[in-house]
Amino acid sequence: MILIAILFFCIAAYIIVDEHIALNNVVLKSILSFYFTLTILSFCYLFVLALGINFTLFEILFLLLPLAYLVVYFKKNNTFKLHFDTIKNESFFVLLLVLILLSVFSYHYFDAAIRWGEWDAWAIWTSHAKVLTSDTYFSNLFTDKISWTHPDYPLFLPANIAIVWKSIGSHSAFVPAIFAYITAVALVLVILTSFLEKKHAVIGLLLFLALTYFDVLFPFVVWQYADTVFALFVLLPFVLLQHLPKQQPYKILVLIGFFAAAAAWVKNEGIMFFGLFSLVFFIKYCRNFKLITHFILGALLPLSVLFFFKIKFAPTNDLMDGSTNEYAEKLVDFENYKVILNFAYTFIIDNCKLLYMSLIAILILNYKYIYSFCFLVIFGLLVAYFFVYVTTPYDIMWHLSTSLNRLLHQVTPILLYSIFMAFAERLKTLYVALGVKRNKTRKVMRQ
Amino acid sequence: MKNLVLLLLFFAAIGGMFAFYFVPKINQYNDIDFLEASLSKVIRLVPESDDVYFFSESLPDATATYYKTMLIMAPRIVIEKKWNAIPKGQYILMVQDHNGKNAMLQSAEFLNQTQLLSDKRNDFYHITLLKKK
Repeated sequence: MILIAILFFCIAAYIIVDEHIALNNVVLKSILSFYFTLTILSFCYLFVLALGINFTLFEILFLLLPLAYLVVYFKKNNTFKLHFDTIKNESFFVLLLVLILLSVFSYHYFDAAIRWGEWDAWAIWTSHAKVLTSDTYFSNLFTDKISWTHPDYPLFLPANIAIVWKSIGSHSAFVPAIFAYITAVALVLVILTSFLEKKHAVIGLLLFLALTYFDVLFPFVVWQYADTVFALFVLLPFVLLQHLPKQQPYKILVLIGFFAAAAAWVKNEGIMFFGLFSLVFFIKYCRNFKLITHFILGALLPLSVLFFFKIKFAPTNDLMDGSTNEYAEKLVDFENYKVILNFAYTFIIDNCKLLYMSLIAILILNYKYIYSFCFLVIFGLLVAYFFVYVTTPYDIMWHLSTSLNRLLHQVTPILLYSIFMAFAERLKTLYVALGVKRNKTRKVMRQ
Repeated sequence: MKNLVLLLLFFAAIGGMFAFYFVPKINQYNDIDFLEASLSKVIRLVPESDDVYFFSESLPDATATYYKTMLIMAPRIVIEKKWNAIPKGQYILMVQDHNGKNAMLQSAEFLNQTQLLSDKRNDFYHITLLKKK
């Protein structure tokens, strides 16, 4: 029943997004609606468990709520038009290329898929999901009864898996695997559709080709980790910012605030991300109080749920368990800085060729990229990660070797998106400038 | 019209790939399922309402078997590293992979404190279920 409820909620969310946000692309709006629905669903599930509400009652309520909205909407409007014009009007050649690339991407994914995913998937995320399926034992997750599986981790991924498992009555390995596939496809489609919406089809397709062909997202996306979901939640606010309309941008800001704050509901790193995103956002728009108010309004619900979870259930994070003296000692141990930088340098040179080469290219073409909103936030996030490594209570090499690849996977899609978008904008500026120059030359020649 | 036909063809291709590549991959049983199959015979001996204490003297925290057992036994599992902290009358599960050794199971003193309910070994795992006296 929950799958039907999710479908209705998605349709209702789609209608709201369609009516209030100036985006044309059906796929982009559908992805936003889908992940908005899943976030709300996981919030509700936390309260279902905390308050001991019957699961069947929850399913019925979650079905009735969007259904009631849809009935009222149809009575008011009589018709519901899905704007397929964007697909109908899209060039046949572009659509053919997109679908071929998407098929290749899917084939790669299906071929590399692993039952139960990689280590962290079954040791942390699906394990948490299984505990959350129990009304009686779910609180065990937040005690030392289940040690060393990071009981403080937020619940977006495990709650959604647990809800579907509970609804279908089986702990099927297909649920996390399909969820991971949908997230992987959503990640590449959000990037592509944003480029198409901005009329940068060629650059968008080039990036899509790179994401499909090179090992940029693979193998991480098939591991069923929350890092891919987090990468998507980091990407969404920036994509929406890119489509901020000049007239009446307020409603889209509610959604930006929502997704930026909801990133903290996917992984703890999201708290850092939201802090940095808000800081840069407030600095950039400090003169426009209305923009800031709408952003805060959107962030309010995810933040409230997160605070409730952190205060009521989650134990202290293992990385935050040390004393101030210990942190101070580690901060002045500069040997650690060297170790981290060496490790990161070697890893990036060996494994992130596309990323660093694109970064170098954009800095040559447009050095102002380093002052962009996106780069400032992501660079700040990487600096924060750096200091987490500096103060880690674990063996630094072990910590680096088990997590650096995942952290880079979280920021790679957004960095590539912003670099390629900056490149497309630069090309457009050059093209326009060239066009103006040509027209002037023609006029002079005619005279 | 051409675009919609193309879209339908795409969905058909994805559906085909899903059925021929993805479904068999996800249906392919792995270590977790083998361990689950081995554990299920033992766990049947524990009443539904009881917790199962996972205890091991030699299994380090970060081994795959440790986490796989946690996933399979969740949410009833309780991890306990100190033998004395396990209350009397509780069910205790000990799981070792083929490299692991449980010297405690050789000790008469240890066995005197427990009731051995099951001790099974296959090519991959050695699974013991005890009840603390």
